[in-house]
Amino acid sequence: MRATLRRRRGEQDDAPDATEAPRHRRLLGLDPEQEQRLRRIALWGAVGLLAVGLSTLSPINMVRVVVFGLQLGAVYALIALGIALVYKTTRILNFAQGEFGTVAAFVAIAVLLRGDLAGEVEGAPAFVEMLGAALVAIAAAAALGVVVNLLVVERLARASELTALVATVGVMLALVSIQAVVFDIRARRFPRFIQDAPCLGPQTGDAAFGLCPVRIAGTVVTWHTLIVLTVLLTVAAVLAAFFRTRTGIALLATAQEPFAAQLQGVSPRAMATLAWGTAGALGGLGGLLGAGVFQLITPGYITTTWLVAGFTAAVLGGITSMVGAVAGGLLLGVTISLANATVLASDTVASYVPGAPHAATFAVLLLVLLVRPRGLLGKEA
Amino acid sequence: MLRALLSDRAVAPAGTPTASHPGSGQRWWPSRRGIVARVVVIVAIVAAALAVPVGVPPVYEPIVARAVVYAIIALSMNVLIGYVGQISLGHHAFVGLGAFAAGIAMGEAGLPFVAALAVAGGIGALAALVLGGVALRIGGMYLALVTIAFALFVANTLLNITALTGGGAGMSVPRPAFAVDNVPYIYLCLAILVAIWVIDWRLTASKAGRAIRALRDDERVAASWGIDVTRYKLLAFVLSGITAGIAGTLFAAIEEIATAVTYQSLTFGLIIALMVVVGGAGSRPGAVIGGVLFGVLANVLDITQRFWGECQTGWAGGFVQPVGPVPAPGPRALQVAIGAAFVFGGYRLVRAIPRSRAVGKVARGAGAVVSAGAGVVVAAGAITGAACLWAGIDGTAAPFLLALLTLVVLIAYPGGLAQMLAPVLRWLSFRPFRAAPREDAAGSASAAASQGRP
Repeated sequence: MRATLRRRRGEQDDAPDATEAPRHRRLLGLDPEQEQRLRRIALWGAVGLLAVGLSTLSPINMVRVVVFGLQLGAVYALIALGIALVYKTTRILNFAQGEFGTVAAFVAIAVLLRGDLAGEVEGAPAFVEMLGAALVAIAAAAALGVVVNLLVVERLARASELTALVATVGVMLALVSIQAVVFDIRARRFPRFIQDAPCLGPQTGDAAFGLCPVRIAGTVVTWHTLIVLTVLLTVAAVLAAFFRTRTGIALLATAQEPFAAQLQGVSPRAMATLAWGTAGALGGLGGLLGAGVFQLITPGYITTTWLVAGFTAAVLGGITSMVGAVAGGLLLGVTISLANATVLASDTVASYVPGAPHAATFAVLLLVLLVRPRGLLGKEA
Repeated sequence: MLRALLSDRAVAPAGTPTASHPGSGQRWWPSRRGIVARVVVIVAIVAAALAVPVGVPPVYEPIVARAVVYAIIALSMNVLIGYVGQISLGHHAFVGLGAFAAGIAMGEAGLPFVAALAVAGGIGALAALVLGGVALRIGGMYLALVTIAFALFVANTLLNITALTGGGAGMSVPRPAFAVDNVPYIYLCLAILVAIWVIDWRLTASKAGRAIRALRDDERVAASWGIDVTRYKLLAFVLSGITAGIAGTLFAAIEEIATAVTYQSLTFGLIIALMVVVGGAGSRPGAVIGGVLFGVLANVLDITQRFWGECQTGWAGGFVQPVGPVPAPGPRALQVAIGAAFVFGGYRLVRAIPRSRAVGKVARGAGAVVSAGAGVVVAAGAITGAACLWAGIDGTAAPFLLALLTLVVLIAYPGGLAQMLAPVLRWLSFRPFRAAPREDAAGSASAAASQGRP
């Protein structure tokens, strides 16, 4: 019986950089000028839709939409960073990236509940306590990433890229089912790092630790939004700096030419461990912050709610670019928030376009892959 | 193109060697006794499949129906993964579109069930055509991503539009008048499964089928042989979409309702892809086995859990209790661990049996009466013990077992269950035995002897 999907990774194309972006092919058999025209139409059509959407909003709503979009987008960007890192170093789309986040969130809950796995987190834990739980959770997620690499990915080093992708899907399902077994399939409350508290009037028992939220042009900017954005920018800066250090360059070299890197004395196993550990940590961070957006966690939550948009953000920004992941994430977040607001502004439209975020995600993904496959900041295809 | 579908003539140009590798000319065709044995086994399998719907207690009949429909979905997915080599992780979108299309056709247009099946197939084909157009440009992993986003879009936006589909309440998809009860309905699904199997078989044997499969290994090479990549890729997607749409109608008609929520779960699409990968991509029996496995494992585990009572107090307890206490179905982590042990143990067993000389020796030694008696008792005890352990696992552990099975298959058996069962499937398909490639004279002599007539 034939092997599942036989094309070997890395051998698939003669063109040197064709592995970085989808192959350039004829769209339904059109010739180049027609295709160019179609691309322009698609691009201007998208811009036009955006303009229509923007015009339906009043300035105050615009600020609210953008702020919420930045919050969403920052979480997308964190997930996209993990995806981009794994893709850059191993050419695999890691479908288990979301589950690194969910596992981290559940580990944090376990730490906060001091081992009482069936309980609920009440009130707002102190910032220091949350920080401690978060550190443990991120370490656990990083360890999980390394384990996934050792047990699954390394054994599929010679298999095709699609086989590796399906393997990450299997890992994802295994992780979700373990969470379901250990933590029960029910939605639990997940606390934020810093809760917003009312500035005036008596503090309620719930806001045991909270700060006054910031206001911009009359819109409340929650502390969670500020935290997520700060974390994102810090992480992105650290990663960008990292890829200029010796170890970072060694990682990139291993990704491009493993054998040549080995000849230079770089251990592929060490590099893979580093990459997957970092991706796990990034996923964990994304999970902790993502769960705090809607203050909700359930088995498989990060994957179902945030992963597809994270992938779209990575593709939008350029799947091998860290800066692109950040830019793509923020841009996608604002776009989705805008689409939601535009649709909800009118009842009739809303009944005809339910699920606006999913429609917007699909539209953006399709647009990027058909019009500019290498993404906004990806390398030249 | 229709001629290409129906013709059997080879598409390879002159000069291609006809033997799969030179020097392997020696073949053993099945003897008359062998043919009779094969026919008997095939008839037994078919009879068992036909007897299941009638023999099963009524409460399990929807489960059997679901297993059959999953097998049809797996066959549809097999065209994409096995023949074209593209993965779609959002196949459940076509299933959902087919279900709702049939609901609208039967509800608003008042069409009969068979016509609704055709409408569902048509809608599935249209959606697959759209996706196929995208797939012309994007391949591999990016296509997998697009299909997921597409499926989420379809399930959350298209299927949720209240004006079209009744929103949250769902749409009613009634069963046909000639198959209202469960048992006739299962036979209807089985008949459609067989029809699709036969169509798939004739397709792969035809020129179009070979063209489609040529796309999987390398599209540029296929194009250089004169295969129109665009046309055959779209054809494959359309065929897959038609089958998925029909399966969607049958799926919704089991519960006689179609709700958008069913198709909003990411897991549904992932499971459809895993069915085919675990079963064996490119293999029809593999896809069907994978579909049935993923469809019913949770329910089977729940059913076998009834046996656990016997292990405590019944006859099975007599065997097992002296050895040790049977773990209760309670602690789920333990169940998961036991299930994992079954998966790994099964894998080691399957790998070990063909290579084990001990099996031959034991088989010969079992001729002795005393050792045969002791062997039977020990084997019965081992099997009962294993059954009691298995009984401790309930349906909630099923997703974990299936995920673990997927990983084991991908790492060790890329060809899936079909690869594990390859000798059996080859025997059942009346194919001749060939001599193994020569490593040394002794090796080939024993290989030839062991592969002789059955």
